Amino acid sequence: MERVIGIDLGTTNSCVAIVEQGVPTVIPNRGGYKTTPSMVAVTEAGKRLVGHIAKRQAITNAENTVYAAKRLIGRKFSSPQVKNAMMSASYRIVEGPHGDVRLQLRDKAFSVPEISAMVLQEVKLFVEEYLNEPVTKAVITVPAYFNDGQRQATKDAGQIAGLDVIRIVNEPTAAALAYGYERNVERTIAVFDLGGGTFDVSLLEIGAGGVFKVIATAGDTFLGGEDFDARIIDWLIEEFRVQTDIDLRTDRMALQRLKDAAEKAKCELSSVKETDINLPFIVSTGHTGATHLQRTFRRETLESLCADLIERCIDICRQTLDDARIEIDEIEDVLLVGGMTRMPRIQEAVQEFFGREPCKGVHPDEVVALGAAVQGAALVDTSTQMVLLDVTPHALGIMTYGENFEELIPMNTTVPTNRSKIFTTSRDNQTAVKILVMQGESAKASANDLLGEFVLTGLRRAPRGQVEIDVTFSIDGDGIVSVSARDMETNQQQSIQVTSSSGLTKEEVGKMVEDAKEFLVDRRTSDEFTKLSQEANKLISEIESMFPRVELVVASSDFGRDAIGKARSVVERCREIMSRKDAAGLHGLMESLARTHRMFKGVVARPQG
Amino acid sequence: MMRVPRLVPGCDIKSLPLKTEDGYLLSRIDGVVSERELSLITGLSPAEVTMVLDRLYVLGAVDFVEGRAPMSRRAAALTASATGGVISTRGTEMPSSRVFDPPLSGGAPASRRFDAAVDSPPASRRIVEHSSDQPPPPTRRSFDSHAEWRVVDPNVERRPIVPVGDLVIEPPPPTRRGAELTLEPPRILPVEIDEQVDIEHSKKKRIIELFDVLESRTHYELLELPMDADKKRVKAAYYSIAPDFHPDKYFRKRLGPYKAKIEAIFSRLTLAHDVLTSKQRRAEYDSYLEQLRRNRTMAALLEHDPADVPAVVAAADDEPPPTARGRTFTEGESNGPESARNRRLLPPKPQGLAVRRPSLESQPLGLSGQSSGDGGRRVDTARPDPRKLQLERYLLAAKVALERKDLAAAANAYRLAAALATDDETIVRKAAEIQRTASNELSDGFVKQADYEASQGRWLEAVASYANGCRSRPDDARLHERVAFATLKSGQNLRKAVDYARRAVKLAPQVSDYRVTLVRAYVAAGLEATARVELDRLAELGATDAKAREAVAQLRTLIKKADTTDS
Repeated sequence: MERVIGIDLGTTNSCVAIVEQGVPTVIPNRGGYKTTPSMVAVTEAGKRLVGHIAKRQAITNAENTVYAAKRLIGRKFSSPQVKNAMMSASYRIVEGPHGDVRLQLRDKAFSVPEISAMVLQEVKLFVEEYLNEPVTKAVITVPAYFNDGQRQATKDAGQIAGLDVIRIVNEPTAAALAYGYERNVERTIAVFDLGGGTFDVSLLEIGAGGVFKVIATAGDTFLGGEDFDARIIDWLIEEFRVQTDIDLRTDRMALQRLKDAAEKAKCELSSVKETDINLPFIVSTGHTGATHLQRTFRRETLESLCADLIERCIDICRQTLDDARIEIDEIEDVLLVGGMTRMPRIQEAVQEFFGREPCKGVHPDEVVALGAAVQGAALVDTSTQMVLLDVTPHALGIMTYGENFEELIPMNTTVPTNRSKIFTTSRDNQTAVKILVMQGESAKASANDLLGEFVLTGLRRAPRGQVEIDVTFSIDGDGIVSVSARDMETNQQQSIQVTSSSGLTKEEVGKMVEDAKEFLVDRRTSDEFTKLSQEANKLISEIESMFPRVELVVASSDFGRDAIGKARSVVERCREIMSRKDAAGLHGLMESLARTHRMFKGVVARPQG
Repeated sequence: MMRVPRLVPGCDIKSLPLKTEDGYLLSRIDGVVSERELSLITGLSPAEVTMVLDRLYVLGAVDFVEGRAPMSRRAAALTASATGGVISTRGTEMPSSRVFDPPLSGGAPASRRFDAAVDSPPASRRIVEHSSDQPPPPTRRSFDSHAEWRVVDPNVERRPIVPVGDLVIEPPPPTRRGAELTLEPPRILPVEIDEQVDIEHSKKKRIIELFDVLESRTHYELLELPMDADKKRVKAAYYSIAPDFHPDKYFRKRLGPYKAKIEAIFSRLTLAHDVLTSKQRRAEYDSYLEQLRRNRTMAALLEHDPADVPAVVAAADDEPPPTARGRTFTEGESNGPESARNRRLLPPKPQGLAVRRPSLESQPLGLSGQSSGDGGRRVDTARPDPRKLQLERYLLAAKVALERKDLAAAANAYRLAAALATDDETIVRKAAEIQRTASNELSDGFVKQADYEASQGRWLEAVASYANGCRSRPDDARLHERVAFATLKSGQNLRKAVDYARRAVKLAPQVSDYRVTLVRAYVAAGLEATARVELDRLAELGATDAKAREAVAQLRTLIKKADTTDS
């Protein structure tokens, strides 16, 4: 049975896990870290960097380093969130061919799924190295409040990275799965997930026999650690402006340094009461003096800067409980997920609101990936008892006459599900109706997201209101939405499967998959090359160190001199090939190099005399 | 095997010792609806229906049409799609209702049945049957399309006659009595079970079985719970049943037609869980179930045929002679043995004077002599007037019913009593009064039922229920407005919406809400000009009312839009 990895593709960090012999385990990356920064950069030489390396060079290459791409995934270029991001991002956001978002890194504009795919590809690579076997199947988590487009874009990213994304799971749900896995508890829990970019809250019921039922889920896709950072940055910029009259906002490199410093300070303040922010030579102006930024940052300051953000989280919790008609005292445990929940003020606020101490048993950075791995294993392994009954986070419906949104499937409906309603024509002798499939909670159709549309034709000519059209929505187990419309009289029928657009066309994704594959081959070769050249270098240095003694022993014979000459040429060719970075050539030479090495060893080992 | 009961032609039902539910069930038997469907129609539990049918069978009032196991429409449709062929759906066809939130008893909402049934002669006159070679018409239409029916042909499908004088009562066909919640096993089609999919055979069977009864079961039956199960039990039941039907358990398996079934079962189970675990929704559902049942029983009782009055009167006058236990006699050929058997089962009744029944006169000579001899003996004992006795019985029944607050039964008893004592003004007045009260109560019941249906978005059923509620309240403006509103919501028959809304406005011209509905109905029906006139009236009326003003503004844009799309 093929193994399925669970990937928490986070805004700032990503994490990957697998179920090994029934135990969900996080897989560390090459550097031994359990999380990998979701950062991608393109160097001057056109080299792609992912993860820690990308993060390390972010300051010097701010314009070509993408962070928090998740905030842009599946969004339209015209959306206010993207406009907002453009104001603060150090990289360039441009408009794609379908009004989607592209990120300009050096000479190429990448789509957001492509950027995410690079992170996923990196993850896939180190997992394969770790497991020593190929991995193709993955469960990827997304914020519960992601809409269909964002989910599809995430799936696209997986596809581009060469992964078969067998399921998209909501992050808080995944956390609950990891929490309840093999624990055999029966209780109602709340998951408070404040990550780098998004806030989610979910209420779940864990039933006997490993049944996880999501009761309600809500959130805000633009509320997370990044917003806390932004508050700190704003504060630093403002303080600096007051002090020096210099606006750091115009300097992209300064912004990146501020961002790093803000994030670092924020994390530090989770354990200490105050910290120093030190950014020497933050700007190089013609003036002398005030070019350093130095401030003491206190926990209270942070808390007052972000009080409203925390309040927003609590408000969403309250709303969710109300919507689900659950009393606070029915919640038997509260899980804190996401790095931001390390902030003491947030823990206090959660404890105050739920009236109980949050559960300490889960690791906020890893629990989501673990849960994703658990779900992946449950899907492919038929012997598992565990089953997740998830809900649809957004309402689904169609646009009706007068731009109204008519809801067919309300939010928080357990999937799979299907609902139908009867509609009618709005004009006399109308022979066709257009069904606009939408997602969202607003009564005004225009405020919701359009998922797809189709036309039902061949209606009977009749005065308005007399033709009845039965519209049925269904969401299947994989979360795929199908909509069908039927003329109840003539039985004319039309239906679509909503393949929500991520902003990319199928062809584009296909092309990107190919591009990424090429890149992957590239990458693999270079990995192999590095390994080979390391080995070759070791052999060469050993051979060279043995030369004097070998010469001493065999120089007397022609055969010996010939052998030494051959050895020298092998070493030289090796060096030359390595300088050309020709992996295949090096591979071919490795054997003669090793033979030479063996021979030299033999000679040296021979008793002298 | 599903039993399809039918009335035994010529059987004198009125002479049988029937209980209300027997009578009620009897009124629904038409030789087409099956035992299971009867339970759906009547709201009685399957076990109750089985028991009543058995009793009726023993009494000789019904027998069973054999060899017809109706296929549900969905099963047939699925088969058709699976085989690519068209299957003629013999047997009963229940119009499938909206899948997501099936009415309590699935199929055609019972209220609509009532709707249709009241326009047609009651069961007592419908001793009809279709010939066996002709596919029976769909159940739903059985109430209103009499043209398709033929009066019974005595040569078709008769039960073997029990030998005269034989006291042995034939055992009823085997039934599954006792099991409270189990229903007749649905028929499993070989095509379905042989479908090449990655599901075990036993699982397939379970899926098909459950899928077939999805719409006919109540939430409780579906989760195999008693009515008083607490939330914890509901959850436990759901958690133990639902995962088996979650698609994740069949992840990336070949499911074929089973995919849709599994998903339908899962969503239905989830609905049951959601309703039963929400205090409020459950209370609403419970009272809806109760209301539904009450309405059906009441409607059945209040639904009369004026022709039964003379029959009652005649029956009272014709009070048959007491028959000695074990004594044998035969009546007319067609119903002799059954009737005879029934007589034997009758409890002792207060006996009236033996006025000879006309039917007895046509009896074979030897027996008639004996009968008349009996009659003669009883004339001698000078019993009181049978009519009076009968009347007293009805009055007593009415009193008892009133004490039980069973208005429908009381009304029925009074009505019959009034028929027997047409000159007693007190009784006649009382009968009319009780009848009115009962009708009102039923009307209220229908409104309650309709309110629930409307709250669940089941507008079609709500329309029928509201309309039923309107029947005895022709002057209730609000009810008429509700019918119009629900009709608009259901998107059906906009003419009906206009008519009802008009009536509502006529009854209560001052209520602006009703006018709003009327304007909406006009717009929906494409009568903009009329809508505009009405709107002006509404504007006048609601000049001071902020809500009305807002509605007027909204409607104006609505009409405007309708205009622009027209041009």
